[in-house]
Amino acid sequence: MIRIRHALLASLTVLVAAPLLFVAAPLLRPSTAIWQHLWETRLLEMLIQTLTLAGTVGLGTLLLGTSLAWLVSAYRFPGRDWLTWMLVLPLAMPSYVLGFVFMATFDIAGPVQSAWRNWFGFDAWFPEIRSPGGAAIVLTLVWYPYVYLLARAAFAEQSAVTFDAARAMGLRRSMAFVRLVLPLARPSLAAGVTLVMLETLTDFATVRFFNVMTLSEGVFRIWEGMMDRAAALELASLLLFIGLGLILIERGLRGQARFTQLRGSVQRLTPVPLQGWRALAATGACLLVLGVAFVLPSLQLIGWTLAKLRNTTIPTAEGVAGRYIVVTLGLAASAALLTALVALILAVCSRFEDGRLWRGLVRVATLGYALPGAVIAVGTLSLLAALDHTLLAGGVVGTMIFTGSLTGLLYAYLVRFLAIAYSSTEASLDKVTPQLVEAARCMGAGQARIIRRIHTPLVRAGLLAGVILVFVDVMKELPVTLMLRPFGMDTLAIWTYMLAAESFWQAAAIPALFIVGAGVVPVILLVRAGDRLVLR
Amino acid sequence: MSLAITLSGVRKTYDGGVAAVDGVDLTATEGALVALLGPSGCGKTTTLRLVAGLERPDSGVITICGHTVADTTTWVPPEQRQVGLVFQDGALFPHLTVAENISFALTRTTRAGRTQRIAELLDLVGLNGLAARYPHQLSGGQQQRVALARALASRPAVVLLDEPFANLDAALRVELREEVARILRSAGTTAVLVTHDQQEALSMADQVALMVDGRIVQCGTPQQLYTHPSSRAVANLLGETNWIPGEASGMTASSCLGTLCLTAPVSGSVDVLVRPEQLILHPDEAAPWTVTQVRYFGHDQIVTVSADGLPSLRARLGTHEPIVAGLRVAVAVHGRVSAFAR
Repeated sequence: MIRIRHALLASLTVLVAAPLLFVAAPLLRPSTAIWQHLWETRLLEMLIQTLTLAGTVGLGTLLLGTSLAWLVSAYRFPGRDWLTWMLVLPLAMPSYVLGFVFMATFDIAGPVQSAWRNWFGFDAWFPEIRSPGGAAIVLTLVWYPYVYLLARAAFAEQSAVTFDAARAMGLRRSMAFVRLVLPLARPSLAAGVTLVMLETLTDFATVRFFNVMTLSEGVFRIWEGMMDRAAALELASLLLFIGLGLILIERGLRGQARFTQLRGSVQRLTPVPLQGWRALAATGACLLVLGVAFVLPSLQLIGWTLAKLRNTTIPTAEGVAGRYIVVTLGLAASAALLTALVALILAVCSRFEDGRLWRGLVRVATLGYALPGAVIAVGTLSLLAALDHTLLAGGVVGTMIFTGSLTGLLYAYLVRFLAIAYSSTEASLDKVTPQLVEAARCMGAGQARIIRRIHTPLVRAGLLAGVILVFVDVMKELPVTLMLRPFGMDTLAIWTYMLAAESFWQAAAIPALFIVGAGVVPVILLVRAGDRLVLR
Repeated sequence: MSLAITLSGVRKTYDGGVAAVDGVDLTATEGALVALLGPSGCGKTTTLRLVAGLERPDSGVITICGHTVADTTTWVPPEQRQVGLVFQDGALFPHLTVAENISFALTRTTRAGRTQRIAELLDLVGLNGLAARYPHQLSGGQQQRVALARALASRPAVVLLDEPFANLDAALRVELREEVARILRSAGTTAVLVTHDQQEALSMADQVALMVDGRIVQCGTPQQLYTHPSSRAVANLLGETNWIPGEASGMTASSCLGTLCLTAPVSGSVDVLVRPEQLILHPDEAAPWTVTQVRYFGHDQIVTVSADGLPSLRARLGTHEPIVAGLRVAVAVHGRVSAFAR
């Protein structure tokens, strides 16, 4: 039994970590020729743009997320109860969707600049939208909810007693926030910002719309332009290096500062009511963010969709819309079920282990989610190609069987999304305490009955949540799908991206609306689970 | 009376070579409530888990109702042992209602039989009308009542309780103790109660087994343990003590408190155990003792007295006696006392 468990754990970890090893390999033995070439082209620019963008978006989400979280945690104002959870909604909108809506609205041909020119003349100055600044604004609006959620949870955990003690020592409310509440929340804020920066590293579609040359963008450009896997791999290894660096920095920061607060019946911070214009300003600020990041773009998408349905002269792939939907749902469902199954096996097996080795293995297996999608895509692609070449050379098969196959795509999804399914499965397994099992045994229940009556019902909800989260993430997924999909197997996300890249905004709105609608589901799940469940 | 549980020479060593249970002999007669009392880490919970079958002994024999459930060749798993177990935190199944929790063990009963048994048990533990509630909708005391009802559901020969009152607040604990003792007696089952609370053990149990460092150091009725402790350690573990030096010969000992009657014959230099409630104080201007401190509890008071060159003593007195610090008193001892050779 122990042997089977160890074999399962080890083989699943190797399976899931193998693509990462492929990407990590060039780090150990870099190819100077390729680096030389990369350096001569735009490597330095890519590196600077990537780091600047990640830094700007990190800072932006930190400011926006933390201040909104403090506003709804410490104050009462009209609409606060609703706004508290609605402020999470922008998470439902993939960055590339908000990206193309912004582009359509504010770019040279868009309604805003047209109106601007009508007012101030043809040469009137307008900030350049296709710029790192534009991308940073969009990405900040999409991802501030990560910081917001973690900050709000951190503020909720803090006891009001320390806050009151600080105020009794003569600190004003705002000073107590700066000197006490913020430092105490630092580990959570750092975790949120790290998450955001990793997402920034992953994104390639939005930055492409905005003409920002990041490393992820570079990996794709090389892969698309030259199909040069070796160069793409080298660049991806640099991306992996930065991603791992971020994770390690965050772990280091958190390791030193672990603030525990009493839980349970601790007196929570009581929000104070705001009066007059302050109350209005608070409501207005929340509404503004929500409007710009979610409501207006959604309305725009709906408007475009309606217009598109009325006027069909713009070229689209409408006839195959049904096919896109079927492909997307099928892919998402298969990937979600596969991922949940592997997560369940891993979670069950690792529960019996307390050694550092096995815990470490699980960590490695669930690293995929933290790493940029381009890294996973290139790594999986290289692994599959190597497999195919070995099989071809050995004469086992006559043609490539893994590269560009459905198996390969599902495998990449597994590597990418295992962590989500794993964490929610593990959390629900924690509800099955040893005492519950022992109690059931003492009441005469055998192994089978215990699994049926105790484990299954208690784990079901968490497992289901994991399935839903993976399902929706696969629906939105872009880089992995783009690089690994079998020929002709296009998803709604790919469809959106392709049309948006060609500036067919109205046509792109139709699949985008589908994706946003699906994305709202996990947000509602998240809100229903309350502050207990933090996204990942 | 037949024996419901016997343990003989039971040992259990955990990884790292520490013997949690180090050769325990224990018997429980049918229908008795046996308390396993001891400081935390003494091995009492492990002993309970050995009886339940949740741990396997390294050596020794355990029988339940005459059937050997564990020895060098036999091993009966917990699901076949017919024991009920109540955990410290209840360990109720969070996804099942009270009724479903209770009927979990009733797999071989008809639907009607189950419904009837659930009603009986809810009545027994005083939770009528709560059958459809979920555990999180119950108070801590109610949860423990359900846990007890659940343990009793399949009419096990033996019920084991592991610190069942530890997570409850003080007032509720006292109330529930009496309830549980009553329920167990009316159900007629043999019960083993693990506790670190000496009041709980003394007030609930028919038999108390005192456990220290993996061994049972004394076993007997609460009265025997309290009045005839086998060692100083046992005496200290069971309540407050005054230790007075004296010279014993036969059934008496002479000390600073005069001649004391002993519970058993001893000779030579001894330490005499005088419980605080055995001391009687009389106001007496000529006496050597002075009241130095009075701690008033309402129902009684602890009075500290001291005299030159003598150890200070603590007496537990009724509160009708007007005693204030500074009062000179004579000290007498009520009843027999135990003496231990020095």
